[in-house]
Amino acid sequence: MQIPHEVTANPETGLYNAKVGIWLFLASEVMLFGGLFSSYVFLRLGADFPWPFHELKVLPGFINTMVLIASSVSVVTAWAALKARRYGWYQVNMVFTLLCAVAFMGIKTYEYYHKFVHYTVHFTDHSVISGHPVHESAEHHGDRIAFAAEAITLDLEKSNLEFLAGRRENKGGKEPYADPGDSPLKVTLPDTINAETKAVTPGETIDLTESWFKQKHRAFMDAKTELRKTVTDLELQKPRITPHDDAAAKAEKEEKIAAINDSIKAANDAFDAKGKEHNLTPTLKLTLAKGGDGKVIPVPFLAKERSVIKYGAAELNYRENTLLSGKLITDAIQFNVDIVDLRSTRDPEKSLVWKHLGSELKTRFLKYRDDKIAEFHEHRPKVANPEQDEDCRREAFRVEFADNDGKFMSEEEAHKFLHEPEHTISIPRSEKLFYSNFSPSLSPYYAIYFLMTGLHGLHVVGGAIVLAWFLFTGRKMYLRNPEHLANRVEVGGLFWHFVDLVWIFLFPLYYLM
Amino acid sequence: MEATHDHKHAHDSHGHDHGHDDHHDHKLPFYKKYIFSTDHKVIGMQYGLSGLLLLAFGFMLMLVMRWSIAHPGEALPGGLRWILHLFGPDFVTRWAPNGVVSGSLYNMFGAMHGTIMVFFGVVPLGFAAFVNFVTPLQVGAPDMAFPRLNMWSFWLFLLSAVLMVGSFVLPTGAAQAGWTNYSPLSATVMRNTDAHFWTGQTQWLFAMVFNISASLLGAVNVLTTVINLRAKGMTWMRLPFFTWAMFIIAFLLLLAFPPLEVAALMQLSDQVFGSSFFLPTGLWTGQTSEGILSVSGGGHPVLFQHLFWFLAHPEVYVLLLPGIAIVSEIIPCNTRKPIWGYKSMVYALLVLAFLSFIVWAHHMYLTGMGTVVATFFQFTTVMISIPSVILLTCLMISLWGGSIRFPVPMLFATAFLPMFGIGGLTGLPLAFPFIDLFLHDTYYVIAHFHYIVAPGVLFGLFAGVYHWFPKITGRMLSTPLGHLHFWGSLIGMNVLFAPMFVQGMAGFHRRWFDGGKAFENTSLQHFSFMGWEGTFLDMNVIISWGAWGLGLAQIPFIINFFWSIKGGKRVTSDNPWNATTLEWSTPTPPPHGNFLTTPVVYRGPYEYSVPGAERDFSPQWEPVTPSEEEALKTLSTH
Amino acid sequence: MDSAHDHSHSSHDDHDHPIDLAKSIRTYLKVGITLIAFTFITVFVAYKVDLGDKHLNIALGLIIAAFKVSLVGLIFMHLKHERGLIYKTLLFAFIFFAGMMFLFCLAYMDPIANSFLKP
Repeated sequence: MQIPHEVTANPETGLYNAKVGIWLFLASEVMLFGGLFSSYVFLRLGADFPWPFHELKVLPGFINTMVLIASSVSVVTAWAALKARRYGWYQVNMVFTLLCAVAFMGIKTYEYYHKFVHYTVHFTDHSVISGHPVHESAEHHGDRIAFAAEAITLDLEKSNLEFLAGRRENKGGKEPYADPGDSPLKVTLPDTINAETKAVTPGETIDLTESWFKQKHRAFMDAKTELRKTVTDLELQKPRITPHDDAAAKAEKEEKIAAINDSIKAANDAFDAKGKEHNLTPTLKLTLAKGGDGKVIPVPFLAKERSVIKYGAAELNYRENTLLSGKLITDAIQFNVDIVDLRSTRDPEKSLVWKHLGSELKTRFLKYRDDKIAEFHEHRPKVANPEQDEDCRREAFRVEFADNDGKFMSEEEAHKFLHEPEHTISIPRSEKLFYSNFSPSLSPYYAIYFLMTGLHGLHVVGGAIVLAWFLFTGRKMYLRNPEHLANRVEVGGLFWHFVDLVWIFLFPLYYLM
Repeated sequence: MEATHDHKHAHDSHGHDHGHDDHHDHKLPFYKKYIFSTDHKVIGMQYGLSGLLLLAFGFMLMLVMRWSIAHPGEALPGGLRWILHLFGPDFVTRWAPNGVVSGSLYNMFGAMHGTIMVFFGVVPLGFAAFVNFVTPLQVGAPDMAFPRLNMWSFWLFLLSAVLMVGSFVLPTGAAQAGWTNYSPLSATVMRNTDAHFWTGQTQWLFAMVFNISASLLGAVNVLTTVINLRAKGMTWMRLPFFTWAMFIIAFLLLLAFPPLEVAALMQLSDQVFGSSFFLPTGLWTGQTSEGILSVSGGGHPVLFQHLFWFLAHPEVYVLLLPGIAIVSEIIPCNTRKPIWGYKSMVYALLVLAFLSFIVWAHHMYLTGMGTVVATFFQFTTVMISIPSVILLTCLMISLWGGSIRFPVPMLFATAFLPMFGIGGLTGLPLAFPFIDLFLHDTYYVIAHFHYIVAPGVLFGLFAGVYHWFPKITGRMLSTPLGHLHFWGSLIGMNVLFAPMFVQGMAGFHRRWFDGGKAFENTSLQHFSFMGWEGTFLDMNVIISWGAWGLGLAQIPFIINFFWSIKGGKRVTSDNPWNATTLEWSTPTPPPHGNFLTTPVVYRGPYEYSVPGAERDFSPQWEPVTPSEEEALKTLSTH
Repeated sequence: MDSAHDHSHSSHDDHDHPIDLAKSIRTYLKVGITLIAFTFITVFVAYKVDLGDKHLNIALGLIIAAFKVSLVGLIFMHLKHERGLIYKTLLFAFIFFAGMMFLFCLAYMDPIANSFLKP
């Protein structure tokens, strides 16, 4: 069976099937990116935060624009070469196109990486600083909650043991989170009762991830399920008392209900007894291994704030309901600063930032601000109240240490602020309103930036795979029916051009405006 | 030995370009012929069966909900508890402790009932199944334009369905934030669970992304087939109305679904990456220990609603047009006269499709939108009722003066008209913001759209199943069982949905899992109807009886459907209904490649009782006879 | 739409006769260079030109982008030579896109909604 118009055009429409198909698909892509652009406008119009303007570094985006334009030229040339039956030219141009795709994605990766390792702290007074938590790339995590655990209470229903063992995350680290060893976490089992002799035996010390826990976990879950089923079945056997029942019937039913209630209680008691015997309690408190002096050696845990439900001076509760008991080491964020943004705080002079950065920098900032306001006033005398003007505020109330033509500080000094330990500030978590790296969670601007460029990147990868397929497997089709291959490349090229076309809008929208 | 030989053969034929000649066809291994098939008819049947199964599944979810509404706090009876056991032994104890439906379970089933019925039941059956089986036959094409893409589309859909149904067994249970999945509820409802982000809400979004991708592939395929593969002589105005409607539906899917994909991706980002597309600044929730959520905020919940309804209103037409499409094939065939106003119906369809893109915000009057926007959407919404009424009126007038025969498909088709009419007309008041403010989210709305989709569209789809079953299997469905199915469904549907209008106007809210029992002692709840006194709460029980009855009425259909595949009455001709469109010119069942000779089309789609013709139907594939020309001349001179 | 129809014949000829490769490449290179030049201009306009109001810069940037996009569409994607059918499909997509954008914005232009959304 041959589908008509696979290669040759339908005389009525003047198009072959794949061309109709790709244009329809592109129409739907118009709506896909149309929805995203509309959302961008909606979010921007309704933003209740200063919408980032000229914040992204232009150069990588600019180079990527060039790369995509070059690849567009080469992909259309590849098609023309096939039309002219010049296979060699086709190959050269396709290879060039693919190299462009690789370059584009490489630059994109570089851009993304530098955002992911860049962090922002919003203070409770809406002052904002950006920079790096100390040693973000090494073993230390300056933004974690450090907690010295002496005992772990597991919730047998929910706790995930491997996960927990990996939670220390500071193998061979330094003060103040020092962990003596990188061996598996050792815990002491609770005292157990021997089922036969009823004698109490002292607990032994074993690895947390050992199968003992898995078996216990499984056994507990099974017993619990069994209990629930029994109870449900019993509950369902209870007769329903209706208003139509006479006294005798009612009494009989009540008696039956009481009997069933007894059975339920018995089932629960049996479960509890069994639990006592086999340590199948829903929670299990385990003391960490003891040292030579008989004292528990505390093991530091570094917890991401997102994985913790609550914590205090003596307890830390993970999301999966594991409880650490011990002592909170610190919950402060160790941070090096490279941007200060005081647009959203009420009074920049009283900002919490200066508590950490010192009054010298504050004086410098205020002078810088006044200079910038004056400059703006000179430039645009018509603006009556420059301090309230969005553009002026962006210039005057936000400083990037390394990127203000040396007007705020020199490049070496900025480098020191970002990397030297003496400039590391320690932000108590109580002063923090919100903390995030430059990822989608930072603000709706970055969310839609990552979504659109990410989706565009996926299109680039998808298009490149299809074009590579045509390049590496096209020879056979070319020899059989060159027009067929030319059609395929045309269709693939149309998609590729569309991807370029989207970027032509994305570039100014995110990098320039 | 035999098997190796076969394998080699299959491999060889694969080596050819597109090369399966018809005689190679039966050599295809089973998995290629029936499972990973590229034949549009098999794919149509795959869609049809999965659609029917998922419809039944969604219906069962509703039965559990109806029990909770009619008998709040009472344990589920054994039959209904059996449904919960589908999701594993522990499901009942977790979500329905002591067999009583919990609020969470009700929310879960409510959300999934809507999602499954709309995206996994009606669209796959009404659009995907019928369009795949019928449209290539009706336009005279050997298959869809992109057969392999077609297969991909089905398997992506199936994957999405498995993900969606599978989400019930997750520790968090399935999505609970309604079928519309509005933020910020959807972002907070499962926030405090131990699962970081892999919750029922997240899986809902993943499933939807796959479902949308499948729809897009299908839509591109249908459109290309209709545009480029029409047989010689099949001009646009000779296209059967069914195919016209399917063509328009495909356009709606193509252009309306992407914004929902955007919304789904954004919400996914909110769930997985912690972004704030739809979360406003300072959002506080009592569901977590966090109080004010530790997210950046700055987003807009209303944006989700805009994007969602930008799809979901055209989606309404995706749901209901298959019903109209099928009925407009069956009515001319059984009245033995042309459809009345074919051209005006086509133009009405085009206008309807266009307008359907700019009416979406009438679902959002309650978001506090301003008068200017509300007025715009009220205006377009009232306007869109005009083409809808044209379509329905044309179908009604088509009955006029016909010598109607009533096989089972025609029963369903005739019942479709008033049922759909009730659904449509009761929607008009909702177009006006000042009435909608009162009726929004009440059972009135539920009754309104269920009248459109259930006794409306589903009747159309049943009609289609009865109508094309002989072409698919070569056997008729049993008429007595069909009558049982039809009358049972008609009564069941009306008992089920009609009282909801009354309840809705009395203010019953659609999300009450106890059916309003919590408000038992409030005023204004007594009514008397034809000497019968009661409370609006009592109606819950009556409505639920309608639901059980409707369920029972489907049993004859299920028996009929499976029994008739092997045991139904054999058809004696390729065209058992004496219809005129091209699908009836193929062998029964149609082979791979469909037509024995390349079809040529000579006339319009509904040439029944043509003056001068020998029979009361003149199929599209038969040239105009001299006697017909003669008669036409005589007529035109009058 | 008319011009598209006029060109349809020439596009038909393309299928029958091999095209002039050198000439095509010259055209594509010219377009490519124009696109790159306008990318420079966009950046220049965004950073170095002060039109007095940021919104004017944004508008100008978008106009340049639209021009670039139309070049890509017309030359690289051969829309210049395409059939009406494709134009119609794209036209609908653009109408619905524009409608969506407009109505989203309308939510903010509306005085009541505006006061609600932007306190």
